[in-house]
Amino acid sequence: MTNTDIIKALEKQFQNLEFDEETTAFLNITVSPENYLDVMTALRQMDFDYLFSMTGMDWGAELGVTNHLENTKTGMMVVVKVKLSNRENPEVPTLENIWKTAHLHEREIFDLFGVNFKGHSVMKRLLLTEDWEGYPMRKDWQDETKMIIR
Amino acid sequence: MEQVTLNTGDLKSQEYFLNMGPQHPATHGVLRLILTMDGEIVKNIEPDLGYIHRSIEKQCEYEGYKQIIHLTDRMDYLSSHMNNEAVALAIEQALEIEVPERVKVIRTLMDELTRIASHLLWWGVMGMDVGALTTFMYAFRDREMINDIMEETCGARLTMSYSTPGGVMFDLHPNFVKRVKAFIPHLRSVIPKYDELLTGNVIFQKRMKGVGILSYEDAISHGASGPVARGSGVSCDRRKKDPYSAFAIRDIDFKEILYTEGDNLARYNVRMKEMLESLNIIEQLIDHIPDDGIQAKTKALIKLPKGEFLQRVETARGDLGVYIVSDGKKNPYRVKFRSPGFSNLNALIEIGKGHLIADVVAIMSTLDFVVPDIDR
Repeated sequence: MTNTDIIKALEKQFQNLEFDEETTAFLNITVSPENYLDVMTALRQMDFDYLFSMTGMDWGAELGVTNHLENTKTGMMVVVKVKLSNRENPEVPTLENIWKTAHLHEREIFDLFGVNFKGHSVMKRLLLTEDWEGYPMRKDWQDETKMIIR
Repeated sequence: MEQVTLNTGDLKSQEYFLNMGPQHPATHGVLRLILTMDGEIVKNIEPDLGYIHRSIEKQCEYEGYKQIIHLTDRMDYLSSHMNNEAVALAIEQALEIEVPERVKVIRTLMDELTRIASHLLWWGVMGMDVGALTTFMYAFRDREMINDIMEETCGARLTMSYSTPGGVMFDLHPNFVKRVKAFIPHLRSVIPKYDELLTGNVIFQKRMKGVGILSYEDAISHGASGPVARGSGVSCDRRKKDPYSAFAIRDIDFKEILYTEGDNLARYNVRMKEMLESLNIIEQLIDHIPDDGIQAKTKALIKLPKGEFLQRVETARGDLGVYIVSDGKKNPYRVKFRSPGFSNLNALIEIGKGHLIADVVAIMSTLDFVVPDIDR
């Protein structure tokens, strides 16, 4: 399966997907939060069985998640990005039921970026204490103790 | 007298919570697991992390690229050389720098020595976890020899910071080749004895066989990598799949160790055999270190072009991914360290269920956690 095959298969099922093969070594797919779960399910059915990593992102105007998916048979990778323009209450569906590894990765992103994963079994802070206020990995976070930002 | 019989099948004890850690010798650091217990049986595991979280990813956003290297030592401190290399390779990939062959060979030599040292430490503490105290002494004696070799060349025993963008920090110490060559036959002769020491013991066998089974599908779904995934039959060695450093320029003959049982013993066997494979790799390289310099030309202030770069390397714990998002400035916009331990911990949540507490300790040992790697 090549990048073109994936693009063709996805375009058949979904609209408003952005594809980019230039920025990185892999095919980048940008999806809206409404399509996110369906696109990920479709990719899982295309044998992308290994969710390599989930990266929380703060692009300034938008928050989001960058997922690196791998097909363990062929070693092929795709990158799926979901952008959330609502910074107050960013929400996406959980991937826990497709890839089990999403369980901890999503908790980490919730903790540090404040992205809420709908349907996640334990949507609690993972690294920080439960009474922590704010989301320190966001770009607009104020480091009052000058611990990291000097 | 009438016989009183108890119908134990209907007896249920109340479920309760048990804190394992953060100060627990078996968690090898400051990992806290909240266990839901029914009697001695673990019903649910909930990890609570962050006791050694230093926000390395956030710190990276405020440091230059050369400084990031020094932070990565402090993630998985038993694979510090691989962590350094991963960042160095990511930067070299972004700047399209071709490093001298000598650098590539030195990096792989150091990688494999580090891998052996890490697996030795794992073997030592794993023995302790299941009640065999002798292993620790043997393992630390041999690991000490590697640390001494490292210290001579890198100037440090744990946090080496030896790989830099474009090369390595210093050239090899004149004693390096001699000492490594003396170490190889020593380790080769002791590993079968070490293996016999544990696997020849029936108690150890019973603690390991059939305990903590991670199936092939689950290993992939949990994102497991390294010896944990290879114990479940998943072929995932980055050195084979996507050769880097010396693996990319030399035809190195080594086996990827695969076991299909997926239990504690399989993971144990993978690591024991991997040490011997690492010795094979070192042997094939140690006499053929090219002499073309230790540093490619780099600028004093490194700026990465705009874009996204992903570099994966095989550390002693598995698949480490460094994902750098650059906006063209002197420090990165976002750095993500996808650490192998974090995903392997996810597997523990599932495979630990239904076991006794003592078995969870044994499973944790064979998953080989380094908590700073999980917390970052």
